Amino acid sequence: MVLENVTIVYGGRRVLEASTLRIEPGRVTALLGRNGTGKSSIFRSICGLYSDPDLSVSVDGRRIAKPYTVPGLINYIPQDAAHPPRLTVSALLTHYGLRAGAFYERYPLFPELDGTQLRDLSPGTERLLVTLIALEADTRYTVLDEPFSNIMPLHKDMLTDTIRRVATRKGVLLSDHQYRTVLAVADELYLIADRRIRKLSAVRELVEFGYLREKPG
Amino acid sequence: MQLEQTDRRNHRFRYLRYALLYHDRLIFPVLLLGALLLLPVYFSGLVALFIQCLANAILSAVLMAIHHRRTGNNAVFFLNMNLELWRLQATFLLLDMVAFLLLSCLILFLR
Repeated sequence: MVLENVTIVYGGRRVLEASTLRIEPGRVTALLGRNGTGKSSIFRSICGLYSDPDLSVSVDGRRIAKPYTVPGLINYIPQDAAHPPRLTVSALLTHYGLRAGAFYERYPLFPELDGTQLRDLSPGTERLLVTLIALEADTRYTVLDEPFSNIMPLHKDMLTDTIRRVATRKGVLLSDHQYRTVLAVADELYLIADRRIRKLSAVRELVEFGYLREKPG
Repeated sequence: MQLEQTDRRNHRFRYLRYALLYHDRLIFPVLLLGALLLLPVYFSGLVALFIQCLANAILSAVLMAIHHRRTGNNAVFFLNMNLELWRLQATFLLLDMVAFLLLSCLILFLR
């Protein structure tokens, strides 16, 4: 999946010049950048939620106007909880096309929450649940905006394991300020710097472009 | 290994079902509003029907717009279901208008 010519404008100010981002199937692609550099807008662009006539999203060389309307292509979990609060856990699994039994077997944390509505879950549990469901769902790509926020360390390990596992069959794009976790899970690294999306070949470039003060140990 | 999947793409009345789910908090207010707008139809008869229909459509559309602004994040769930929001809104509005017209017919019949 290739996103080309993405330009982000906030309040008349260009925060991102025409840039390109490539998400490979079977790989975890991470996009890093300071606050306000347009990461979330890029994610919305990939899903087809950002209107720009110059923007092009293509999959297998075919341009797609609204990727979110193509069944089985992409799902997206934004920064904030994004699901109807009165849905129960089991109903949510059904909507995403997952069998509850198989999901609960893999994630023993959730069977006891089967009939619980999303609004009654803690923010961290809800976040973890919807992220795991999006990852497990049968789509070619999953886009995760700050998947590790509000997640406790134990569950963070479970989530990184899941990302690594599902990335063998789908492309995963994620962004998060918890860069150590991101670096541990990412196969491809992109950084938004100087109003461009740049593909990085080494972690030290995060320092060179001013995203980190020093190279992580 | 991939988890066992169910096919969620071929449900009949898919838009109807998701339109009701997306607007679940609006169902009662819209019904209440419709009932209030039927009062002039009851008292004035057929002459009031057109303007009341129009009023019902406009007020429902306003309620839907407010609802959408307040629950914008929930919309992503429906996008993940490969649904277009404007179609969900159109479906709900259509459903509301059909219910309103049916109730109007009932009231005109009883009158």
